[in-house]
Amino acid sequence: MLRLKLFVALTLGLVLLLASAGHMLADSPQLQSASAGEAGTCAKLANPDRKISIIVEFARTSLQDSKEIRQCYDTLTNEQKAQVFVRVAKKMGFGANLAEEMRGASAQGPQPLMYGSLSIPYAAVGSGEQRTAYTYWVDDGSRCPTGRGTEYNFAYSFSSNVTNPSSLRANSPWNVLVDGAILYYTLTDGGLKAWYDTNSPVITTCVGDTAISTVGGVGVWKDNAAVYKP
Amino acid sequence: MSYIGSIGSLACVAIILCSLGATIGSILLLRRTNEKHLIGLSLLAFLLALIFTPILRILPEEIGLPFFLLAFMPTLAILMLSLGASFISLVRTRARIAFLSLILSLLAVGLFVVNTTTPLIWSFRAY
Repeated sequence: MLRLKLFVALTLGLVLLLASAGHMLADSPQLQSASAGEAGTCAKLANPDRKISIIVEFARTSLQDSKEIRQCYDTLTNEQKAQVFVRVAKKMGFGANLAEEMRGASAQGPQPLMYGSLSIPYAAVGSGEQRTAYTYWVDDGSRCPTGRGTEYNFAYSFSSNVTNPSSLRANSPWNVLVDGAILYYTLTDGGLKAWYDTNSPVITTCVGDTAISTVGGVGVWKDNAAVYKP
Repeated sequence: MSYIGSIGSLACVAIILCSLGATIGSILLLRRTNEKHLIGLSLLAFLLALIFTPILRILPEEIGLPFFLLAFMPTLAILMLSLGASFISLVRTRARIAFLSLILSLLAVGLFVVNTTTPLIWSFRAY
């Protein structure tokens, strides 16, 4: 009887040991291989947001250097590179007041730039400082969420720095189609895709060619899409 | 230039159309409708509230944007019409079916608001 109990106890112990070892083995190599697999194709991706996500995830989960990740990082613009650091900080759990903290840290030196992107939601009633775009340019679609096709970038300049970009709102008091397109982006994507720098009064929004052709041209959008800074 | 409280033109049109549509439509509808039509209208409103946002978030932008511009106002009109007609019918007849219709219309409006303003039930479009 004692032998039987001993045998059962040993068998159970062995099973538990094997199970935990298998779990440990299964966890880390999967993570590494997933990161390595994505890192290999990262530089070739068209969507910069996806590239940033891969780099951020790699930086968070791996302490090793990676040639592929470095190549991928080099393909980003300065704005996007800065965003990598902001996102890593946020992922690590100390990014809640990053803008404030960096401002405090730089009191004795030049102010760091705080770049980023967000979606500006639609406001049925816009309030605060209202601006329409003062200029626009066309590029290959790397800044819009889709990351493909032609896109139109519109620049808005406010009287002071946009220190709280999440408070920005958009609508069009003068054109139903532009207003409808902004509302459409809010319903589907959370708002108009915009890029900001908290140490600058200028923000840029990007709009796809579908919206521009639907509202009747780039000039119509430029003159009628308004952004509000409370 | 700075303005305080600039109303979006679509919101402005929607408010006017919905107010007028709900009032006039409810009166016209109630003169020549029965309880079955009323519950049918509420069901239609609920169905639209259920599928409108998910369809928008699934469709590609090339189809989704024109679809939204065409379908947004009619959807709002049906929701408001259903709510208005159910409310007037309940006040007039105090029938159980009118009460059910009103509850269904309120649920439809609530679902529409939650669906369109948050990614709570249907997440935003992913690329």
